[in-house]
Amino acid sequence: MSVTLNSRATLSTLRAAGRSGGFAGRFAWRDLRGGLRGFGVFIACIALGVLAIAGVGSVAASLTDGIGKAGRVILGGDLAFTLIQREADDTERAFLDAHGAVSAAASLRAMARPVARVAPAASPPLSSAPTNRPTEAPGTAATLVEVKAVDDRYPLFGAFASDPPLPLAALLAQKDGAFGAAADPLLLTRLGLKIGDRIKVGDAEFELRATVAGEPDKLAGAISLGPRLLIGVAALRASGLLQPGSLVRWQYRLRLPEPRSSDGAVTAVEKQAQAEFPEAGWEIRSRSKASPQLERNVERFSQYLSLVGLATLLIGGVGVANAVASHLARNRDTIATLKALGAGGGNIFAIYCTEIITVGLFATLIGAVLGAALPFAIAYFFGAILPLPVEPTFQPGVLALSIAYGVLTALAFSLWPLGRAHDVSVSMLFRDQVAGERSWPRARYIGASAAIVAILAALAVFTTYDRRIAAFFLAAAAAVFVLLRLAAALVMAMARRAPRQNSTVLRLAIANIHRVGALTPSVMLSLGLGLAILVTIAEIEGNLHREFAAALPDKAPSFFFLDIPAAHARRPRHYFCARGASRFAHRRRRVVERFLCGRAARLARKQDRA
Amino acid sequence: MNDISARLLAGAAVSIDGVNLSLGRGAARVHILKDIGLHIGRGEAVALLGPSGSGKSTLLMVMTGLERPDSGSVLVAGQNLLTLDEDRLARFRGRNIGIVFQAFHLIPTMTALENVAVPLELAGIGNAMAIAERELAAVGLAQRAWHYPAELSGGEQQRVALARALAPDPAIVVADEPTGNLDEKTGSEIIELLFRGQAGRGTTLVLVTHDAALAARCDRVVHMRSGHIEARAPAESRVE
Repeated sequence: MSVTLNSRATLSTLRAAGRSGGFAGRFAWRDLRGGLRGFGVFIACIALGVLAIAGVGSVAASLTDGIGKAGRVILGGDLAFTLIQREADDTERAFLDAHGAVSAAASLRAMARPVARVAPAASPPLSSAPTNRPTEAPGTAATLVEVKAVDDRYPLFGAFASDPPLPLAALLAQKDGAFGAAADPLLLTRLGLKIGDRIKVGDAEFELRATVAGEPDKLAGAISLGPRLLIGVAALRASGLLQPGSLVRWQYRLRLPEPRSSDGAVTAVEKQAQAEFPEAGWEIRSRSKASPQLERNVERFSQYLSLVGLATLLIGGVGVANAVASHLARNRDTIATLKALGAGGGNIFAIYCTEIITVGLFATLIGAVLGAALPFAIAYFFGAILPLPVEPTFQPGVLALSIAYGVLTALAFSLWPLGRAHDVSVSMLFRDQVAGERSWPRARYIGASAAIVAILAALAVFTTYDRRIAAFFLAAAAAVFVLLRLAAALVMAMARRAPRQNSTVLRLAIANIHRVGALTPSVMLSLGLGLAILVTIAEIEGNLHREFAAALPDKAPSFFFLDIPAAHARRPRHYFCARGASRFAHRRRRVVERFLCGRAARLARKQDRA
Repeated sequence: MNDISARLLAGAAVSIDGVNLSLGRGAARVHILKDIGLHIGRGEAVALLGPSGSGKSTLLMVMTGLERPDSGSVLVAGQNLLTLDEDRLARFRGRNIGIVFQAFHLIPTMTALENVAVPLELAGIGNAMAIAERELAAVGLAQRAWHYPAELSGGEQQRVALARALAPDPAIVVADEPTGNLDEKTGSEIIELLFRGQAGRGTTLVLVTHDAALAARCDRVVHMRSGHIEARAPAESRVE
């Protein structure tokens, strides 16, 4: 029954709104044409929230687009086939060659030692800082490097840049008994070298002819533990580092011929390779998934920031509600006059709802325009220094979503005060006293508010990457709202029951806390929500930090000594033991042993043999 | 309602019977109108006279449907106001009752012309602006049509309010202390306009005032005190 009544009431309101639609629009225009005085907070709240959501979404989408469009460059080809510890055999290579241009590259970690420097013998310094610094001992100063050996077809896409600029063939060619190499500037700093100096990696000697200024396929690489050293495949073979069991990753990048390089063709080649070589054990990646981990990270990061943006919008919503209530309070006289002249409550609602939607749309558009411009601004001002490819584009989907958020938030927080305007008493026009006004709006407005909040929640849940997190966020936001409102009611009740004060100022202050229309609930909601968001972000960061700190001692050593020469392998133990902490020294000993039992041990033995 | 009453009501613009109204809650509840009975004929000009707090303005509000009595009946232009829901009552008021307030209550964001057009637009009358322009000219403000209320003097504002009240050609015009915020000369001009408009259109006028001289210009004076209409002279007297 009540549902039927409510439906009738809603229909009646809608009919009234329809009838007064033209007048509502005209009146709203007349009211707004003099300016947006009093709407500053309203516009700022909505525009900032929409800017946050539109900006984060646009930047994330631009990043994803950039990664997607630069997929060929990041991957180094249309397809990449990766083999660990072995090269492609003749059949596999023939298959690849039959489908297009192939570039082979090998990557491994190795120790690089300067060969041209002569320095007095000294012990390697040990410090508490994590370090890859070279030792100062002649012939033994070494550092870990990420070796990448490329053939003469590298790179298939993009361009390799060196400083000074040199053709890659000339850069890597063998000359005067040394192969050419390009190194990360960090390597030169660590070993105290300059361009033209020589280093030794394995059995081969390299002349550092340039530094690496741009490596097109760098983003697709694995985690880097040392500076890059780019050499030729022939040099790698001459180094003696290619031994059975060596941790070498061979990557074959395939560029399909242009007429047959569509996404379908790429997928077809990938499927054919899997079908023809089921035992190859190679990992195949296509240009559309050049860096899936990076794309996932961008998506998760953007989701987190989007939720922060939504939280901003919710806090702004309280500001919106206050601004709308203030606007209506300023217009009480006008509302009462209109009612006296023949306007029904539905007309009043229609007029002011039209105004709020108009201003809300204006504020939303400001936020959306600024948000849409954000990726362009980032690309313009920071594009050169960003490690990720940003492809600034206009993102209609993201902007539509942010506009929907803005308008729905404006409505969700405005309907309550707008609903109360329906029942503004006309008696104020005849006498100062205003009695008998409802503090709650009619059921139809409460229902409409609830429906819009539900739509807003559904939008937040169904458009995010992880719906569970979004649902938790919304539940927490709702709980905080209810708790803060209850806390405000408690404060007001306490103020109402407070003993009478002698001081007039104090009495007025306490009365202002609990009087009808007091700002206590809105102040507590605004401040409480703002602080809750700040504390939540700080807590998330603190928890992550604590989790890492708690997990590290059991799972990973605190310090890595990656470049300790074999001759000085025992020195760290003496160094730490000499400083007392046996447990500390013991842990470090285990770390050193663990490390020496791995690849470094083999390298050390090899060095010793040499 | 007996036959005599029904016959009386047939010719009445306003018919109020047994109206009681209390406002406020709990200990603050005040019985403002006490068993009020009042009948005003079509085209009649009636003054409600009485001290502050006697219930004049509240009776005016009951008459215009802005306040619902706790008991009794209120008929205006043959329509029982208590049977109308809020929206229908608002529409009825817009078409049949013009109100002039002491404090003008013009809408500050609208021009004089737009203010006069408001009740016409709310009533859905098509040529609202043309009618409003004519009404403004009738009160001598044709040249000030595009001025905002803040740009008009108090007298001009009340003239706009008068034009606004008369624009829908209502059956009844109620005026609550229309000269209360004006100087004597301007007040006299407004009263002249008010009575001229009432007489010219045959509209019923209910005027709330403290001014006995002004009240004397009406066809009838109704004295109120403490929520009652005083039963004997000078409570209700016909002005010859």
